Amino acid sequence: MLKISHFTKSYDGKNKACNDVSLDIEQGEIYGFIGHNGAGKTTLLKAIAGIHDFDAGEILVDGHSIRTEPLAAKRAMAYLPDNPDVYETLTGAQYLNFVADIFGISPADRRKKIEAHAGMFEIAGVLNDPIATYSHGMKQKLVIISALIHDPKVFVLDEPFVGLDPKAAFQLKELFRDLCAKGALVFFSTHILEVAEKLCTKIAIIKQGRIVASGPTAEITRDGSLESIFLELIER
Amino acid sequence: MSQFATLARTLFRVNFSPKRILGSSYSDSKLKRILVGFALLYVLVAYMGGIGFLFYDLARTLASADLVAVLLMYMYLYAFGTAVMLVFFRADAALFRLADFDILGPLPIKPRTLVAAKALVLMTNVYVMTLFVTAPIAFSYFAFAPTSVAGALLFLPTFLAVPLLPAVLAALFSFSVRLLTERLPKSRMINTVLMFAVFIGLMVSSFSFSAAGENPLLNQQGFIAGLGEMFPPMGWFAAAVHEGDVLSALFLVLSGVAVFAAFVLVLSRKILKTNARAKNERWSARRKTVDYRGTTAFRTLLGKEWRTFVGVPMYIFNAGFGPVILLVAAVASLFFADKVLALFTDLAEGAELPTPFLVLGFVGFCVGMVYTSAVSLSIEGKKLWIVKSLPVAPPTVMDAKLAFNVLLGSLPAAVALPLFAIGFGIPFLDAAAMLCAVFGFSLLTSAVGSIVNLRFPKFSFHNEVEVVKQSLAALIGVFGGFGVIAAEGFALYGLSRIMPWQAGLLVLGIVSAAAAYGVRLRVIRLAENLFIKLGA
Repeated sequence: MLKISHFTKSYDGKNKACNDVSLDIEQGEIYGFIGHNGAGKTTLLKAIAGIHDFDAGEILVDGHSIRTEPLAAKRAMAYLPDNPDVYETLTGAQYLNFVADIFGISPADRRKKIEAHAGMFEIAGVLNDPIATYSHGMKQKLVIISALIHDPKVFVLDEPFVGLDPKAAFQLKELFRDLCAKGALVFFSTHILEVAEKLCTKIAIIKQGRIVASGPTAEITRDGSLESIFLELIER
Repeated sequence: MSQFATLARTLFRVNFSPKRILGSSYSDSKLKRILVGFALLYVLVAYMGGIGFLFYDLARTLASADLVAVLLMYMYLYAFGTAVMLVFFRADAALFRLADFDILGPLPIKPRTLVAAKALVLMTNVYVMTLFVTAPIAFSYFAFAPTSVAGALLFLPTFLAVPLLPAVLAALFSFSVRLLTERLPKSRMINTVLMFAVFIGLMVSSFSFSAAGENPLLNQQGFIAGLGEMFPPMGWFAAAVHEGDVLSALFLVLSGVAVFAAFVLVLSRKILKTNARAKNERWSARRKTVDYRGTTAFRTLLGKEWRTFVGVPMYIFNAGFGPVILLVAAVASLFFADKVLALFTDLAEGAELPTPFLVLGFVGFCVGMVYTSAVSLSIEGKKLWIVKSLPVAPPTVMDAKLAFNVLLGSLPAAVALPLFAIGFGIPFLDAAAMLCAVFGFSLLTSAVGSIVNLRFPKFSFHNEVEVVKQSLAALIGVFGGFGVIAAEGFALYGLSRIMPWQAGLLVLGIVSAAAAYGVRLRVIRLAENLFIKLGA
């Protein structure tokens, strides 16, 4: 459902932020993407979301190329950035309605989803407040709710747990499992190796723009912990 | 002192790098560099050619009456006014609601050091703008004044001292407004209304000196000379530069520096506390039920443009000033038709034109000041990821921005023109023809603005003021609009020689709309190619 083939991207034309990255992620998988700072995680995630152009390779989202059929690919996908910069002059409800309007979600459907998720993340009471008054965590929750509004098949998330309180982080993990059980896939980057080890069915480790390990979590970690494997791989 | 120097150096690097000033990608190609150079040259020539000529003419008149020193009082007053306006509108973002307070606040920097460094950055902006505004006056003065080495030497230090006092006064006023309104839920709207009130008040009072048919600056002379006698710093400036009076120069420099230093020393702690309070601002909406009504993607994009526009005071003040004064003048024309017509004549620099042409020029001028399409893409800033990651085509995003600009310019014109028709007794069919031309003009300037913003985006900024007032796209957007007015004015003159002027307006409107459509097609192609490359 998310197929990345020979993805290559350079910002300056000399150094490659991502070099020949290939990953194949199937529905029902929670796929963790791990790497040190500047390894190329965000570059790949932004390219999947259609935010960045790339030099070579192909990205297919639900069978649609992000390059040649970007609108179809984006309709099947939800993206969550590493920093929830959203329109601060809007209220939370206005932002969610904005996203719902773009996806063409009916008022009844959006109401059902927004009420359910805003209640779960405990921000229902502030939806009529301007986003400018939200904390980082509240903005993060708002963007997560906006990502869930159209029942996407592919979730692409950049450091989704940063800024969330423990309860919200737990709920997000449960949500990932629930979505995958319903046939979606979750592809997310994280620095929290314990979360990746316990939550992900598969893991990819990127180092200096290249995938150095990928596959089922159990196969990657073998007898050791993900932390020791990760440190061994990046220091090699 | 070393802490101040380090902080000031860093803030200068952050605020005045070419990338910050001109945008993210101006140096990508030779064509862009040429366009940037051309735009700056155009602005310089347009300003110096217009205002510069008036002051040169005034200097010649004053010199013949041995009153050339009065020109220095003009210079003082224009520098004073520029500093007041600039600081009044920017002090909130530059001092009292710092975007980087989260970074600077926790650092072990003394409040006075931090406030002084921030004030220095603000004052640098003031000096650059003041220099630009007063350069024609200085040039005209030195062209006609008797040569004086002492005066020339004292010019720089006294010129640098002039904006200090008005800057402090404006900052204090802005600070008072901030303190009075910060606990109110609609404080930003109150600030915006106050800005409009102050600016329109200043504008009306400056025009009240003018009269039609002569150099409008000449009528300010009596008032300015009188003010110079009552307000010592003005007289000190004139005496220092014209007579080379060192004592006057010392009075001016020391009084300015003392007031400025007192502001920093006395208020720095209070200013930082205000910044800390601004970071803790929380208020809850009274309405608890959420509205889930839906609309089309295009209309929701249009709604977002509107909310961004009204949510940023400097945005609404700068790009919305034209429609506001247009509506104010239109309503005023119903009651004070003669005075409004005299104002339009002043704006046309005394040209004796038929009333419909004066009205048309004013409406065009106001609509030309609407330049949201030239900056609204930049204003997305770090939030550009939203529209880039959503399933909405780049041309739809750009069309919404373009349509918003057209609505913001055309709707007030559609309201104002019938009011002008009533106020000035213009036949309604003539007013309809004028509206047709204005609508075409609005379409064209909006489309041109879209191209400008796609070519010269500026996504790196701390505050929207940097995009709305300081970006290259904003500069080209505003002056480009005035360029189109001039071109259409010449075209109308030509057309009115071969057909009735009303028919000429219709032709002009249709041609402008057709040209706008062509430019929009180019915008769409550019958006499709450039959107994914735009880095925010």
